[in-house]
Amino acid sequence: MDYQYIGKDIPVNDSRAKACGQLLYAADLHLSGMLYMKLFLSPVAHGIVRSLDVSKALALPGVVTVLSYENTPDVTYNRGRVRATEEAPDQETLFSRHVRFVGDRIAAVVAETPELAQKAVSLIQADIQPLLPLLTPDQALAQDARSIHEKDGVVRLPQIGYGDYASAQGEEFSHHTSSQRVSHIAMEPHCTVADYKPASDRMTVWTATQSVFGARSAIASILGMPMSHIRVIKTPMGGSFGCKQEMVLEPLAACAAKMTGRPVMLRFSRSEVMLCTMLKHPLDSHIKVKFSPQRTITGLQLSCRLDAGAYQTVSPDYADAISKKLSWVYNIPNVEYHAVSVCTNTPVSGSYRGWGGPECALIMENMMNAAARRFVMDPIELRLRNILPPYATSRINNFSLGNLPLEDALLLGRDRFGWEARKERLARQDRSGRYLRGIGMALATHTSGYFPRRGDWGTVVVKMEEDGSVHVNCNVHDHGCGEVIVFRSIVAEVLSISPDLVDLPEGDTAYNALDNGCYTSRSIYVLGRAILDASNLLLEQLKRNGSQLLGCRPEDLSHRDGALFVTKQPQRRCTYSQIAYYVADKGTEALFVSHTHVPISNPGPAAAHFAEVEVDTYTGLCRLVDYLAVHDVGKALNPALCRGQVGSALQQGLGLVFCEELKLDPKTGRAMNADMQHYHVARACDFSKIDTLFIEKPDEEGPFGAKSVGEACYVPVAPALIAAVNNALELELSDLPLDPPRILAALARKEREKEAVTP
Amino acid sequence: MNFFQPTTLPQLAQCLAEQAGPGCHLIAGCTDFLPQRNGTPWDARALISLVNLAELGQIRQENGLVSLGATCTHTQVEGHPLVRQYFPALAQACGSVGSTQIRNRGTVGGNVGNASPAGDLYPVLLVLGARGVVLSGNQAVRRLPMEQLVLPQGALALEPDEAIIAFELPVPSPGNLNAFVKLGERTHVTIAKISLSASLTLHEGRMEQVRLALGAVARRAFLSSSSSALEGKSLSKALLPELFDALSREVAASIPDRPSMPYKRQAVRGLADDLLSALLHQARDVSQQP
Amino acid sequence: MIINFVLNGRPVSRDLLPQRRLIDVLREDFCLTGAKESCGEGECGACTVLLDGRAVHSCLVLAGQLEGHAVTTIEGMAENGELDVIQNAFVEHVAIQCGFCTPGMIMSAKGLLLQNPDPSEEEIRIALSGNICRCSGYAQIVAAVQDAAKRLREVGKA
Repeated sequence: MDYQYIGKDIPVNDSRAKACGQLLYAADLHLSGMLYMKLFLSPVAHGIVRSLDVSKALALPGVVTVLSYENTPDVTYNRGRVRATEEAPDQETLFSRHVRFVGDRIAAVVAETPELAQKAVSLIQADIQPLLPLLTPDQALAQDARSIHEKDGVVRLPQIGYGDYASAQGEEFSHHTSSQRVSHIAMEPHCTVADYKPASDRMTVWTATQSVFGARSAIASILGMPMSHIRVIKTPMGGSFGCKQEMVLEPLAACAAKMTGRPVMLRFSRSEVMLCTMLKHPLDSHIKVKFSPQRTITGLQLSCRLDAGAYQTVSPDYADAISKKLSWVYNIPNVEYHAVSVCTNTPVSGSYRGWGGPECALIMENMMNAAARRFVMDPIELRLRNILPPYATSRINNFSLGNLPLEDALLLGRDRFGWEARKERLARQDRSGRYLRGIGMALATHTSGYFPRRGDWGTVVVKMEEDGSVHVNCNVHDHGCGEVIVFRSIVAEVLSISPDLVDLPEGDTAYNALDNGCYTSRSIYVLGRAILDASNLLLEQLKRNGSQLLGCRPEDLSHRDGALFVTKQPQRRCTYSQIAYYVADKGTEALFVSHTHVPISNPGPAAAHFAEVEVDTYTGLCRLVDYLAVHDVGKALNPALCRGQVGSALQQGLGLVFCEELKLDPKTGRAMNADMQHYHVARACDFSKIDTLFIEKPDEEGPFGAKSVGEACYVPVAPALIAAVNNALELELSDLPLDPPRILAALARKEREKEAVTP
Repeated sequence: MNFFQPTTLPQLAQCLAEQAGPGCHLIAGCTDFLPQRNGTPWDARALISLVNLAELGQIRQENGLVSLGATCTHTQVEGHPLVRQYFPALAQACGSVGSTQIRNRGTVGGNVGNASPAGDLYPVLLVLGARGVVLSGNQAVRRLPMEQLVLPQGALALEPDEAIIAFELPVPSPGNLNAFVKLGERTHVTIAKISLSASLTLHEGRMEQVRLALGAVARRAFLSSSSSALEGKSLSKALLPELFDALSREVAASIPDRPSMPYKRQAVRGLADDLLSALLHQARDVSQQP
Repeated sequence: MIINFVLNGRPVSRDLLPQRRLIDVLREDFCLTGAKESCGEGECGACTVLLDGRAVHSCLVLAGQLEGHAVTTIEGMAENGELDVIQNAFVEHVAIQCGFCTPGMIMSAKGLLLQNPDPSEEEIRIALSGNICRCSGYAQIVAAVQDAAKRLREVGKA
């Protein structure tokens, strides 16, 4: 199919403004009379504030007010809740007397300048009675985390699965994987501006959120305001990766605005982002898998433990999400899944790119790679014996996974990466030298929306202006990865007009219909399809009116470059603008379409990743040599942006595997590296060329056949890298991160074991 | 707060005489000063900024000495022909400090003056036999060998009214090789976990007057006794096991209680290997010169 | 104190507290919000500007130290609304996603090309290693800088 705009590398919308530094993010906003808010955080991991002295802070000229648990609503909420009817543990309040981690909110200063707010915070004194901190899930489980929360300190999911693991036949293989606390490090630190007008009781909030309706819901319930009095507007987002999914800043800034009657900006520093928003869950998992003599899986038993941090927030749901993905890649007749989400006196864990998918893949793919070594089998071969065929049904939740080309991904990747040739080359490498190389791979899939879970839909309004340009209204939350330009390209493709003529502002509760927000990689698949359908409806309306104008039947018309023409007599034509004026003059309808799309499928985008790494056995440092990501995207609507997503996935995956970890002092629970000088992420010099191969077998429902990619591409990265390290070192490492000390320690252990066997 | 920006040495001396003491800071590139204060409501009684004192930004050769002004940036030092000619170790160390932006702004005086255990320049200047030139409030100038400039605990051995204004390095004798290698958590933009600096003279194929310094494994970088693993030997990779063994024992002894000790003790092998490579590389270049 | 410096080619004279950071002065006093704060300690590069033609972190320069120096920000790159060669290359190579790192990244690229008009890929990667991008894996950014360097060499100016 030859498209005008779909499949083309069109720059992200606002690229030019971004290149000039003109695009305003939330922290760049300046409202007249705006105040600045700064939090006063708990210095201890667990305690009760006996007394709070804010008098010195209040006495500082320029300080407007101090908020604390003493003068703000004592409403418990769950920061992850998008709609009030969602069941989730309510454990958090705006400010707390019972502080549950180093960084928990006790109070906040609102002042005329950020510097004054900061200074005033340093003048607040809290007398805190320390309580015994429970810093690890083991410590917390021993007493059911009751000292942290009266209720739901520990959430055990009911057993999930199907079949009967115990009766499955075959050789049992056990494996263990764990991973660490990681920060998203979106480049834009969180910022919210709230403006409250007391006379009219109206609140406007500008914030880089993944869900304007979620933010509105939280503010309404905590401050007790009608939703119609609150308007939440999404600002340009400097990256999220899940860190701007939960409602952390919005209720705080709104509360301060309401108390002062003035606009308030709450902007987190990098260290506050790392401590006071969310982190990726520390994960501990044990898996048992039974393999038949043909090395097909007959059963799987998995138990996962998530460290939720001080509040459960989304963690129970997250633990549940891991189970969903267990039946999406391999054909497993019997599955038994146990999970527990444990509160500890540590920073809060929450949404992170992939939502359980990367955790599931980390566990499963580490296990598959380890099993392949045990069976002395090629890891691709082991997978080929176990993968689901196209149009397989997910045994959990019972829905079709779509055309799911797992085999294509494996075979195309094997060829493109030169897997066999590399294997031979590496088998011949000199193992006595300083540097060792290895290759590894991992296979995965992911969601393209919520289906079959209820409550996923997309509502769109498309209208044509008199000059033939188009306005689209849809609850879009672009994280910075380019959804807006892709949506504009979809409209442009349908109507055959330049994407530049399509305006598509993002999430705004005042204008958009209710919608969940940007979760679970649903945007392209669900909202994109809604936009496609709505654009087609507008085209129909144009043709109906155009046929009146041109004196023909609508079906006689074709369209191209902003005009309709009679297919067989192209000289008989009229522009969209002429139709728009015709319709306006007619005065009986508007070129305006409102459409709701409800998805009826949720295909799993298949992905196979292949890595070659080099390990410096003297220092334990690892270097990425080559990387191939094979992605079934259905249709790459904008290949450059798809490749951008893959690069970003690798950026975060390299961090997870090799260097990123928020470390807490094991005695005090205080973060030891909550700043970027001590928390290291991958930089330009850490990358080599990344090869990306797209499989474009169109999905039936996605717009132009597209499936999701943004989270899917992060899912297999870590296990592929780990496998490459293990292949290089002939080891079985699966506790992250594989930082230099851990690698050298493992090599030393191996050396000692070898010495022990050789007399 | 008072802000001073002297443009001549006498002006600097006057500032030091009048302002020095608690609450007064000498600043230049601020690449350590400001990160240390990030997110805190900091204040000072007086700041004396050295960046507009042109004389401190110069590199020149006089009477067998190369003089580096204290506010020369890492970028400036790394690329300077005199440094490249005589002191590859210094060029390597300056080139490995932080990022481009940090190297463009951070200064050699600041790097030594902050006396961080992980500071890259002190051990290099130490093996190169440099002296710090110090100006005091009464306009007197004194010169201190590096080991006297920085105290063993890691603090500067200066009076409050004194400032480092330059470093003087003796022009090396013919046959001198010097190199700097470091190990961080990544290849660039990294803080040293360990660094190794060396200076030696190659005489008839043998290494003499070997000076090695280990950085980031004690409060202050120190001259390493592992130099004996090289002294009098001919330069080759065959020395690796012996050098590694010596360094490893030295690292273990200097930080016996630190959790990072087991790792550093092993990883110093990579540094020893890198050092020998760098020296061999230089020796080849030297022997190819006419 | 009154501080005289050159901002985006124009001499300015302002009464500023000397201990304020350049990034705050730019954003608050001159409404130049292109320089972004992401770490505040010279690690991420989002606040990069040119000081006398060299890339530096505006979060690590004090206002008092500007006397007599020249600052160029991302806003000083485009002329009469026309994007600079580097800015255009970033747009065309789809090297811009969320855009938060972009101004700093472009200023680092500018600083590099002023010093080294014909950098190797390795030199570009090292020069940009002080700027973190979490959205792209850097491939498109490196390609954009390579292309900009080529175009600048063709017209003979950096």
